[in-house]
Amino acid sequence: MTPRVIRFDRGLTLLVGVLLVALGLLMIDWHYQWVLQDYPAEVSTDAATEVVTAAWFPWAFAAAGVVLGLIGLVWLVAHLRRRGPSTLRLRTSDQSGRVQADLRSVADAAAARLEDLAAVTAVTGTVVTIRSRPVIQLRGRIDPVASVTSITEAAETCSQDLAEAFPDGAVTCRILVDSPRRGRARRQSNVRVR
Amino acid sequence: MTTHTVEQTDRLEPRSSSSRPSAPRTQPRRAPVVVLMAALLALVLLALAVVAVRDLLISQGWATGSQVAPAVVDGSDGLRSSVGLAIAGGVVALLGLVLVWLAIKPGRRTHLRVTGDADLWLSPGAVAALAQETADRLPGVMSADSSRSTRRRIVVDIVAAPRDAADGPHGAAGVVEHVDAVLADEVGWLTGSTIKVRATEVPR
Repeated sequence: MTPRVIRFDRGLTLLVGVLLVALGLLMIDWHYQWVLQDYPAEVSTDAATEVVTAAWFPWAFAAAGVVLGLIGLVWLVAHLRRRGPSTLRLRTSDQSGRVQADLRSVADAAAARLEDLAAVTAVTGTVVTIRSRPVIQLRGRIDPVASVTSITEAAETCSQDLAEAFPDGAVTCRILVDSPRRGRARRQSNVRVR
Repeated sequence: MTTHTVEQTDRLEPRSSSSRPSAPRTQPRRAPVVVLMAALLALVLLALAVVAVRDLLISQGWATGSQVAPAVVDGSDGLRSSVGLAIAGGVVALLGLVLVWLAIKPGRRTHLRVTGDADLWLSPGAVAALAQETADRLPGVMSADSSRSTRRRIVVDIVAAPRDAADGPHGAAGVVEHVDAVLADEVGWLTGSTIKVRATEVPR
């Protein structure tokens, strides 16, 4: 899911919301006539009936419906798109050839490294785009025996490794640590004798 | 979808200088609820397509049934204003307001920033687990429980036993004070969260 898709979602939802508010207020005002008074006493759909009963209408309606349906389908599928690039073209590329780094492999390697360095389990590495820049995002679950300092140090090491791999700063590293897996975490420690 | 996080730009305080390029200053957030609403709207469009094609099939005699579009137009003919319609209008307007609110509502923040150069974030649940384990290892603590913590507030309930240390006897209040100080120093300060310690005393 990309930020662009979310912006589109927001825009369209806002539009539908404003239209619904307008329609609702119109329905209320039609009865109470607080704002406008020149409403018709009843709805007449003569003109619409003429259009709907025309021979061409089912074809036009179906065509418009299919187009809208396709837009809906594309809109839905857009939410499933991956969020980051899989490769990054390096600056050493020139006329003689192209040099690309496979960021997914870099993310996997960084995830394995973090898991080795810190008490963080089930670390997965993905590539995301934040502010138009590729970011290796490592996400794992904390092992409660860890200390914040040890995780901070491991995160520093991972970020440093990545900075050395990409000295021009084209790729940065973000680490998200979640709560322990349910069941493995002890919600309450056992009472014991010291 | 609920496990996804998306990044939205948010201003954070400038960080200390580092040899590394600064990481993008955005907060990890859960995908906003509007995504769900948008998916529903997309499904409504798909449903409209189905109705339109069905109407075409029926109008050409390729399928049996009654068309929806003419029925809707016929049904709204002669419609007069009424209290019932005004109430329905109120409901529609309210639904519209909910949609407007959802459209502008940002996604929930999922993690807390850890002080330091690395772009490291801990979820409140992870901070609570760390606080529980840290408290549990301290002298005078019989057991620790962080299950009453919420996203906004980390609470560690401890069972404290008075103890005799080299510098004299420590009551439960002393244990709590010590736990409080250690948690603030080792966990709270680094994650910028306030940790509340509540104690139950075990009689001597």
